[in-house]
Amino acid sequence: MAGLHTNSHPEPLLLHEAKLRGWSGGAGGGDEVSEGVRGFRPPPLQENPSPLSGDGRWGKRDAWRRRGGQGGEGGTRGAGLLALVTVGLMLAFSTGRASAQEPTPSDDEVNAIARELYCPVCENVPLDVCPTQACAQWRATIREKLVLGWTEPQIQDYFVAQYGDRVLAAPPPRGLNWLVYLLPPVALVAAGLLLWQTMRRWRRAAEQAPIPAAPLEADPYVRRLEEELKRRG
Amino acid sequence: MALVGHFALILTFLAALYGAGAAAYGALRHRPALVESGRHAMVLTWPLITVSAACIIGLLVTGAYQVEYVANVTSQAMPIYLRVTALWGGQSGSLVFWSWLMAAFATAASLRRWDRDRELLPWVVVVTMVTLAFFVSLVLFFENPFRSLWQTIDGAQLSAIFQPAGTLPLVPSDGRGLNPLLRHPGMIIHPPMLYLGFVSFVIPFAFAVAALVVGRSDDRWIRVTRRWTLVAWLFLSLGLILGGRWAYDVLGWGGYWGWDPVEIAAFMPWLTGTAFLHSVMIQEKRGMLKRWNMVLIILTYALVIFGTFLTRSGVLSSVHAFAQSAIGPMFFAFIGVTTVASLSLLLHRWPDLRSENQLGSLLSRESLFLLNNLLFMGILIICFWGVLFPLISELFTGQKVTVGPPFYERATGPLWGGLLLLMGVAPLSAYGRTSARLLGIALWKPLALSLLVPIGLLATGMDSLAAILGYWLAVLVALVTVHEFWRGARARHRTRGESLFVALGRMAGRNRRRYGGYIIHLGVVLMAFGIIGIELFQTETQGSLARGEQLTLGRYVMVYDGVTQWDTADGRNVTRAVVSIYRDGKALGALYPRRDFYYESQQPMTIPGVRSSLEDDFYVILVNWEPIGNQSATFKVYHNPLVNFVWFGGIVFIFGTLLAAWPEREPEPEPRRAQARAPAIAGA
Repeated sequence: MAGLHTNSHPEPLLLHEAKLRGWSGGAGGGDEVSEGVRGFRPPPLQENPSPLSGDGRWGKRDAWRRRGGQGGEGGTRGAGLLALVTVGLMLAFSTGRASAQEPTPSDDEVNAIARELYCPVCENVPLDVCPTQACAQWRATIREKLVLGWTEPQIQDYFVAQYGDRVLAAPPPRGLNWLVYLLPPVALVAAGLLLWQTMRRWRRAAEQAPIPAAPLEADPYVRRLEEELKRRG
Repeated sequence: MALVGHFALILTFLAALYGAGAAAYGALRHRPALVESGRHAMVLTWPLITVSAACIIGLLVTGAYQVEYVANVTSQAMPIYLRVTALWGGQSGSLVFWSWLMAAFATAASLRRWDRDRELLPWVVVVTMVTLAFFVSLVLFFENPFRSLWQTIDGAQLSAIFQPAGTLPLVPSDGRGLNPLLRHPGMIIHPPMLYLGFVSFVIPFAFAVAALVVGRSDDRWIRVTRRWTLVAWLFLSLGLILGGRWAYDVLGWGGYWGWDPVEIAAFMPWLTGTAFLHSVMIQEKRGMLKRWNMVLIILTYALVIFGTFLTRSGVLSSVHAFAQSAIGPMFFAFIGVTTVASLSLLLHRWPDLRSENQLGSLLSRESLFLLNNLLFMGILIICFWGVLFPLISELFTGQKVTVGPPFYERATGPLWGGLLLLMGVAPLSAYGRTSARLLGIALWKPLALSLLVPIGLLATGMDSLAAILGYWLAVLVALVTVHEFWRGARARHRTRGESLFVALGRMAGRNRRRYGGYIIHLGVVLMAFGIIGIELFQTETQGSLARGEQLTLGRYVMVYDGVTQWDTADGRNVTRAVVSIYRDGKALGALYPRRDFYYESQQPMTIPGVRSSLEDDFYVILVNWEPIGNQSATFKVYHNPLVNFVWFGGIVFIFGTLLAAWPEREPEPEPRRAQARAPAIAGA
């Protein structure tokens, strides 16, 4: 596959192939294969492949406009590129990729729901930041449901029904799951009570048999040290 | 080379077993010669396992791909330094690395203190060598890095040390390469740091068990191992902070801590270790909490073993993975046996470990340290339960559940707040008898001053109660701590006529543990500032942009300039976007978020572009891109307020720990006090 994007002058056929492979790899390769696979495409259509060859224009706000207006490189090559662009766009639409500038609902709306969900494959990675293909599909599902007008609880219920409770960030409070919420506070309160009891016992013992001075304070050196420490704070 | 390493490992195992056996037998039968022989065996384990580790490194560097481990973690494209560090890139290698550290530390511990603590040392040899033998046995019998690949006539692959009958050597032309996530410099240093911390904690545990076995009820074991404990804690803290930094730089989710079971596994020994560091002071100063300190160090050891197991194996992700794993049950058996054995020893010595002192006051330093321990234990319970519960649920109901960050954040948040409050109050309370009045006199000024913070925050319209409380407590701690420095320096300035600056330096130099501890507290305050900032005020947005389009988040505007893609010599395909960042309309420069795709492992890595300032980070992730047509790309951007305080605080934290752990130049006053008290105990 590496050969697919080593040259800097992609041909339409090659592009097509890369695109298809990228997609089929993503769909069939299981969850290990990530969106990165979709990046298996020829290099971008730029005369200068390195934006770093800086003449300072990157810092300027209007630079992009100038470059945006450049269009093709002229001549037959420009026509080829134009064809390429057309093919690319067609492919983009044919595979259902959202290439529109402002999708409805917005990415932020999708992420707000995705943040509270966990995919069954990638342990402990919230759906909104998970880079795998499976999670991208889940996010697409959320978007579809939002388009249909579903609310967040409805979408969550849908995922729970599909994949089980593990998609939720925390176990739903029912049945055995109560344990996860009850045990730590109960243990903490019990430990606190135990500590309180112990401290009171020690305290009572100290009151009943007041030790005139702790043995260590009988040592004049230590007394001086403690005093000095006290003085120093 | 593989066979040499394998045999060195076998010899290490035998030497460790012999060392433990000879030392135990010699100590029980009062045969110093046998104990000495056991110690020699222990000292021998280190060069032996060094040979073994060197063989693995040799195999890794020379690219001996017929060895399974080498084929799994290295590849032709990897530079030399990555091949060397691939020693801890896989499970079996990291077990060897762990054992190597264990052997080295055991040797170091015995070399330094052999003459002074003759009665304790046989048992230190026993504990460290049993631990070492356990880890080496795991490597030898379950996860051997020296196994080579073989192929049978009918094409099946298998791995074994020696050539099985009817097979031919299988030499892959290239390896699979190290997991790309592990190639970051942070990840190269992070595991050894954690392991150094883990293994160092075995030494205090070994001395604690030795004290229990021989029946010493004083705090000798704590004094001998104080520096070990601090060094262990230092490396563990460093490991955790570096791990957080690595996650922030490499994982591309805008955060540094995800409450992942693996993170928590490394965090739990730190919790008990921190509680231990505080409560041993009470034993040293007041002769109290002897039993509790034993419990804490036993717990820390168990959690260290548990953490080692969890960080590399990942088998706790499900019951099935655990059942299928060969070393999972071994680990649990070892943790169980060592914990039960040491707790039985503790119960056996329970009456001897009575407190030498009573609790003077419920507001004394001792009481507040106990509260500190209670809170740390609370956080530990939450973490442990959160890691364990998915397994319990799966076991009993068949339903897997996720216990994610919201659970931990909500549950531990108030406890962290409580710890901050204690950090503000406890330095002002005295040991022994103290009264609410005295504490109140010391506390009221910083308390009154700190109240300006919530008032100020409310005035600016902040409506998050958690943030207001958090910042208030953090400022209180800072005021109290700085005031402590000021009081001490001023006292020296007055009594000795030193300049305030000199007084500050000398004071901290003479009381390293005390002032090192306070510096650590200041580090925690800084980290708290950062953590509250990013946890409560992080904002984010995502959008697909065509070239030249922009995305706005708060005061920031990001303009997308373009994307490029190329192959690198080390087997990556890099997709890098260029974006220009503006704040309040002012240009701040360009960022280059990128996605690296590793061909050999078929794994992507998301590397954010980050614009850092003291105030905040602007953090850009390249989510997706369309290199054809309009070159549109999808970005996710985060605004992370104050996040850099986490890292600054971490540096201050580590500096404080170094100060506390640094060897004293002058003789310490404390050993004399211990000697003064020892007869008193003997007489009591």
